[in-house]
Amino acid sequence: MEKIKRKILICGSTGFIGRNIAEHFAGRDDFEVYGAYFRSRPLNNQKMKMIKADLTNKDDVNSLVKGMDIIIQAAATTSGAKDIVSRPYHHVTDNAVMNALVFRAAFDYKVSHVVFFSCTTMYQSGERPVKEIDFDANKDIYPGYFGSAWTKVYNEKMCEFYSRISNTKYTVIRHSNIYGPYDKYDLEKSHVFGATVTKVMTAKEGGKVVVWGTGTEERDLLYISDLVDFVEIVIDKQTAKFDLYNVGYGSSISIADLVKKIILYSNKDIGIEYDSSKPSIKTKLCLDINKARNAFGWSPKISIDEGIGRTIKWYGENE
Amino acid sequence: MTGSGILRYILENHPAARIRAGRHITEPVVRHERIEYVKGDLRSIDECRAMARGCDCAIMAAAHAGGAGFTKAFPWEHMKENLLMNLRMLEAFHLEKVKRVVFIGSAVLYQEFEGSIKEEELDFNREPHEAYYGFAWGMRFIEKLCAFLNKKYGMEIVITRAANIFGPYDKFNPQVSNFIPAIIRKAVDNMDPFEVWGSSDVTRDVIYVDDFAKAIVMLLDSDKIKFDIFNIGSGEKTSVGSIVEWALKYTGHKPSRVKYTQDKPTTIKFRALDCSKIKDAVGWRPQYIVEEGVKKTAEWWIKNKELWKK
Repeated sequence: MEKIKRKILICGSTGFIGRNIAEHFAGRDDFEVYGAYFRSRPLNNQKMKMIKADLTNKDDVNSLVKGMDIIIQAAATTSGAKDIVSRPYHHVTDNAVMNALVFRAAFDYKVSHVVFFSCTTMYQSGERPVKEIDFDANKDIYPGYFGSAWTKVYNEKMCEFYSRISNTKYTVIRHSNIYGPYDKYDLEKSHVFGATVTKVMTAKEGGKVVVWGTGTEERDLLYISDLVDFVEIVIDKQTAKFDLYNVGYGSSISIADLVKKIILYSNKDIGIEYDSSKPSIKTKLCLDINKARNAFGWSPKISIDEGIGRTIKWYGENE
Repeated sequence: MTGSGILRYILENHPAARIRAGRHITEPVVRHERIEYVKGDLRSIDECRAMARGCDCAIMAAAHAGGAGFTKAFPWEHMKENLLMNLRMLEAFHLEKVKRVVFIGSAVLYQEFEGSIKEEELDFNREPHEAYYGFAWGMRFIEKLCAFLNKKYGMEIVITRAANIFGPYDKFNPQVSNFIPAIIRKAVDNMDPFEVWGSSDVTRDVIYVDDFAKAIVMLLDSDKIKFDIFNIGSGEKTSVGSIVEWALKYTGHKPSRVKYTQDKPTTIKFRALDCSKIKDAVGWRPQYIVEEGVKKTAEWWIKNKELWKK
């Protein structure tokens, strides 16, 4: 007899994180994978069902969620420093409305597990790796992140709220900067990693790349497959009704070092120039990932060097 | 109730003001040549923008927590509507360049506390009361968004954290009503034995709607205040027992006994707001003592109970 497959819905399946998760679960024969998309082209994968839905529209969300066992909420109107600085309010309303509707539908249709991607912008910048409990909601949030960070914090609270009044399990993932295949590589919307890869790969031999900021900012960078592994683990193993985890590399790298490594693995002869007049987000952040490690035995498997190498190889073949 | 209280106050005290009033399902209770009603669904950004277009300032009164029974039975109902309406309306104010907004929030966002709480004592690291968890976090989030709109775009916003507002045009439907209209309704219905949810020593900060409306309009007018947060209440603890006593007194009902039931939905035991900040800032203070407010509300209900559908 054929085993009953669990229905998993990936919201934001054409985005970077959503796509990697969707492709991964499509490779397993015990899941039926549904990918929601809206503005982007649907994925072309025989093992997935793609559904067009506007997640800010209640009727679309309801028909999407009905009958699902698991929801991966990876949909967001997100972007890099340029967009956060120039159009800050854009992030706030649509994201909050979207999540309000998805969580509500998960409640109404008795979905068994919801995985929500939060962020790490609520943490204060600092030298020490931050634990989940280090978030102090009474302290100021970095001004550039204020609106989007509070939207995420609010959505985390809504996950907790719904977990208390229903049988739906919730996992909140505060992930650091994720990089790898299918990231955004266009310079308008990309984060620092994608932007630098594009600049390096498109630079002329013997030329130079201009990096926004001063290069001293430090980031915790995690390769996408390690995040996908974590999602798979919580779906199989989480017993608590609600839990929240940092998922990152556990140490940080400066932008200057990152750019040097990307140039190294590109095998190109390129110089670096820093433009401190351009938008950048001046923080050092590194996640303490011991909670995830201790709960599930999860830890990052892909080193920065290996991750950069893989990404550059993928970029060369695909972009 | 709060919205129509504010309309009445503006009509009486601001002879030159022209008002656009948003409404959705219910019919307007205050009609006047200076009020233009616009029907719209606050969940739609286009309808929100149409309402906001051309206005200099705005009062956002479309947030409401129900009574204990409703909150316990349907805790998620607040989430769906309140949050979306507030988000979309604030976005519309921003897009339509409304200069000044008074946002009516709620004191349920506070953590549990002893004594009277001041505005700056809100602790975001402590959870609100379980019964209000979702609604309260929604209020905390909206306050942060207001701060964001002020910092980023210079929109002037005054946030208020309202006590329990009561008075004429309140919701009297027992499914959703707060404790004051619920008790008045039972008194007018001559309930005997007189049943009250919870115990007589539960206290709330309650404020009569006309006083509340005055506070809101004073804050709207105080344009030296570009961004701030104010508690609005009577600043006193009123016990459920006192409300019962006054409701019986002004409806003339004399039940054989008053029975406090412990098995019915109740929420937090005490809440009192320190309202000295608004007094110092704009000189507002309540004109009605709570007993007088209960009397006026009971008189209104006796006159209107056949007609009032909410």
